[in-house]
Amino acid sequence: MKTLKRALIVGGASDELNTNSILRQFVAEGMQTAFPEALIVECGPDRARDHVRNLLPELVLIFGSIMLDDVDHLPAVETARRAGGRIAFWLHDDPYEFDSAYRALPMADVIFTNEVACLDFYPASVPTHHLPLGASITRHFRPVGYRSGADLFFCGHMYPNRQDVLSGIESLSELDAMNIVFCGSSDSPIVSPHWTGLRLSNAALADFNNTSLSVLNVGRELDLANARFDVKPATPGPRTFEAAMSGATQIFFGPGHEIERYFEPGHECLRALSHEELVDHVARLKREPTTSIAIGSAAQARARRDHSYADRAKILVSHV
Amino acid sequence: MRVLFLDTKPNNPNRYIAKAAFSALKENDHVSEAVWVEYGNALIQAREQDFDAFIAFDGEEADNFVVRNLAELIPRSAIWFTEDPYETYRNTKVTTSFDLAFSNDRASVQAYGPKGRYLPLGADPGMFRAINVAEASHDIFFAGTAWPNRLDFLRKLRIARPSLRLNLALVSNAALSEHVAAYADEFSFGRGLAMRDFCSAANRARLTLTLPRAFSTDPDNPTAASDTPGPRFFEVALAGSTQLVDRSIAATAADFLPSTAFLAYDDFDQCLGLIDRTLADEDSLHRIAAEAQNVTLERHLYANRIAAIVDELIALEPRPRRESHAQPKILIISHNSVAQGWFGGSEIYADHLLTGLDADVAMMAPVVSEYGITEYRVTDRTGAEIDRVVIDQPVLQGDLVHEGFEQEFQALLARHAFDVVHVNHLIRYPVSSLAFAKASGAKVTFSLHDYYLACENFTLLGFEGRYCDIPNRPPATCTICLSRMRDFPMVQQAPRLRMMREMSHHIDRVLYGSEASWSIFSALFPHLQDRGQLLAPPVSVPPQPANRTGPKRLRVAVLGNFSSVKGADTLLKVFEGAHALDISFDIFGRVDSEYLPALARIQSVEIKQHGIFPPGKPPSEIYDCCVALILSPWPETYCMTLSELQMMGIVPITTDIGGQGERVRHEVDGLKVPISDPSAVILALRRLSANPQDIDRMAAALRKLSYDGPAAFAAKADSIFADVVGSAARLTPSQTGHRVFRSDEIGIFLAAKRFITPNRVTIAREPIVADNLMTVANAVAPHIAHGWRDRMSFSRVLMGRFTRIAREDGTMAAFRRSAAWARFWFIRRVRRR
Repeated sequence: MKTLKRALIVGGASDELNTNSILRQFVAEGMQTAFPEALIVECGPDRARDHVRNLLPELVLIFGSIMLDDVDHLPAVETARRAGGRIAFWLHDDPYEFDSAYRALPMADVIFTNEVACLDFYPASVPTHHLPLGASITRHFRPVGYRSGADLFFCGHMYPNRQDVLSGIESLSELDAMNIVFCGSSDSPIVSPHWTGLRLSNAALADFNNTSLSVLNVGRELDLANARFDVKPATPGPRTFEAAMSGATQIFFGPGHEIERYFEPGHECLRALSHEELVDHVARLKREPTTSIAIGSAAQARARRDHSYADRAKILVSHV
Repeated sequence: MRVLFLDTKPNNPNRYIAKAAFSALKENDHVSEAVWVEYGNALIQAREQDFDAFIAFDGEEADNFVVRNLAELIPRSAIWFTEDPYETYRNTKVTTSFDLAFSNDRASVQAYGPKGRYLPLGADPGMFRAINVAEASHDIFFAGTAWPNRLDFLRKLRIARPSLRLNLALVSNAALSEHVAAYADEFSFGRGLAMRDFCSAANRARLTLTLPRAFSTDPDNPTAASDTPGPRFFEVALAGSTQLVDRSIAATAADFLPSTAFLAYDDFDQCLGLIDRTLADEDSLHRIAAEAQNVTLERHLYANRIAAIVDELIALEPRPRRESHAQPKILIISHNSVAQGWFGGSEIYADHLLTGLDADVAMMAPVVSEYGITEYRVTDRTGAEIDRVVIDQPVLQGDLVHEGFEQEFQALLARHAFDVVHVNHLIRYPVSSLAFAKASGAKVTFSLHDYYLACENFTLLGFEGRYCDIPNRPPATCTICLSRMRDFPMVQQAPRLRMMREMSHHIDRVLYGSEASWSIFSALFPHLQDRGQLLAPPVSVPPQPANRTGPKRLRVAVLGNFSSVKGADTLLKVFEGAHALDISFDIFGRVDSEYLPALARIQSVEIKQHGIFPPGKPPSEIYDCCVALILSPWPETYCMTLSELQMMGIVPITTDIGGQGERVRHEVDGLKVPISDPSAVILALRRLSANPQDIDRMAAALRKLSYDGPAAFAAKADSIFADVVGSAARLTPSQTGHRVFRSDEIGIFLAAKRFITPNRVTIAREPIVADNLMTVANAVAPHIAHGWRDRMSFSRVLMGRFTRIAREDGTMAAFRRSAAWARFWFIRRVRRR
């Protein structure tokens, strides 16, 4: 597709059950920025068919998880198709929900996945492209200034592998001198002086990311639907780009190299392969706070250049 | 050449290699089109389109009906075994169907006889990484399964050279865990690296170590080890890392010379020596890595491997294309058969197909049992049993998939290799059967006898006691209806309907009896809109006029079962209200026991019950009736009763809905009344009893109607099936002992395998938000929305809290503001019923 006149962005799962439904607004905003002349509408799956009938979109983008059994996109898809529209899926829960991606195959003209490793597993019968999540300049940008917050900050759901990181660094003595904040949600109670059970809104998270000396980025490892191929994730967590746009100095924990395609280690982010390395990075940033400002600013500049949802939208539409 | 490509292992953790090979296939100069298939669609694609060649990749799980038929159907076929020598003992059986067998293990080639060829794995261009020894972050990288021999080696290495920066990515699995428990203190095990990360990690290490595997699943050869490079060899080379390889597996491609393109060692000490020498000499690291990378780029990409296969395929003499069956081979599946009794129109219809088609037809139906159905019998047209499906656990209401049934069903389909699976009804079958029928290479057709695909409540008679009209109501209506219907407290409509729609993609043709029912069905299944075909069921009653009995009392017939789905509730009210009219009623057919007391209580009008009769042969007294009532409150998909009455010259009064309403022209050859409206029926009867000339006029119009009898019906069905099958080549049946697939292996995913849950759905706890209710307000027809506004103003009086409502304002914005109150009103209203 070279130009875009009318597009409908539909949530993959019902908004009531989808804590990530706000991302859809960012995608819509980004698409509008990239295609200022276009009419972009976004809605939850319950309203999709009505909107298709009214809008007759050239592009229907189904964005998000399609794993739950009670949302059926077929009626909206068929209505759009018969009016000449093209159907794209942008799945951002790969590889954890990869098995459910097969549901999209009968309906999709093109599939986008946030997980580059899944490109090796999608059937070759439908064109599939890698498209990581991004960030919204208007929603996530915060000027990078004084780091008044925690030395190391993390917010998210405490899957077991993330709990391991917390307990791993807690065993190190250097932690006594540091101000560590882990917050978010957890399935089981976490006993730790560094943990607070507190969920943050998307906007508040940007503030925390912006004012922390460093931000821990560790992906999740909880498969809900990845039994067929056991795809190993390569792509960093979904909030990576939002944090960068907020000027965070992110420390990526784990062996993956994929992050290097998005941010340059050492200049725009830091990498840690072990708990010791993670704590060493934080200690160094404490000694040299200007480094945190420098890395965070560089990351922000990179995010503005390459990782906004407007950039993602351009790539997406070019492949439809 | 048009090439079909299949990775034979359905859930292949090395799928990335298959995809790399496929990408190379697409780029090959001799390939005009390459088509990727999986087990769900491979056979049907091969039957519908012509392919010149078939390439099967990997070879595991390949002993199955699909692979065997693909290899025989397509004129040139090759299989590339990539798991030799560990799987050679299984592979030899598979090669009998193929023209060529390529193996990644040189020593295994001879097992495949003259068809055998050696073809090691290779590398995908995407793995290329520029060599960067100077900035390496580790000295040695090793990734792989933690076989015990490897852990021993690594332990020794650590002890001998503790200062080396090792990057280890060790993977354990359930089968291995007991063997590696002893090493748990020294090594950590992970789930492994994504391939791209593997290549990047290799690129960042000065040396990449390859250790042999000494572990096999072959019971006769438990220590089988390969002497052929594993998949990683060329991948690591392309990723730009210097490799250290055990010489026992270093019988690599002839152009990979040890010391020039990689480092080979015989034992641990030699390996250690090589490590010491090479790490001290950065130039040699660079040289070796560069040589390996260049040679790989020139000769060891998947493009090279695929070219080797394609060149051989082209040189083959193609086998002649297989023909189709002279007559399509059809399996009808149904929930019941005439032979087992307690049947209705759909069983009779299936029976006509079974006995009347010229095609080679068999029928599958469950064997009814009070303990739950665990047997399905397959019979030929004479009723003789030709096969049987037996399962341990019955298919329950609510099962969307059923592994036991699916396995046996696949084995059955393989034993017969049907061209078409015709679904007469899906009750007692998991809906995944549609996908498995298609996976077996059969076309799938479906007869629309009711709306079972749309709802468990297959007549769509909702909690209001009449047709629910769900295509014109918001989908959430189903939640309310199902929670109130006595027998459906726990059914989740949305997941059921989603799965039905997904599976019905496999239906090639829907045969329907009336446009009215088709329009309801296709509104709910829009992707099937172009796949419908009208085929009216056969009418067996020969035309014969009813007796015109003169000025005697009008006798009104009720033909067919006296049950709620046939409008018994309305009929009772009609009987009660007809006392002032000079008419009597005759009921022909079974009366449901719940209505017998009510019928007995009606004394004011004469009602004769004639009892059950054989299908199509009502007692001759029916000809004394010249008017009949068909008051089904739901849109019948056809209504055989109506056709029979028309042929008998009996003027019908029917409900104005569905197939019954469609085939009556009001005032021309019958009368139509609204659903559940006894007074309209009584008015019509009064009018007819006072004006017998109208009856005569309409009866005369009936004589102009004609319907297909069984022979004409079967002929039409034959031509439909022939059209559906086209010239698709026939498949070869396969008897026993081959691999059948699970639903996930053919691409079916369900978060919950049943749509019936233990929690009763109640509206009060359901988080219906205002936005959802906007859907309710928006999606209804204008006159209904108008009614909502009226009722909302009523509740304004009750609530007293409205300041503006839609009635005054009339805009959608006001609707939105009042939607929360609308919700409250709706719940109250429903609760009061």
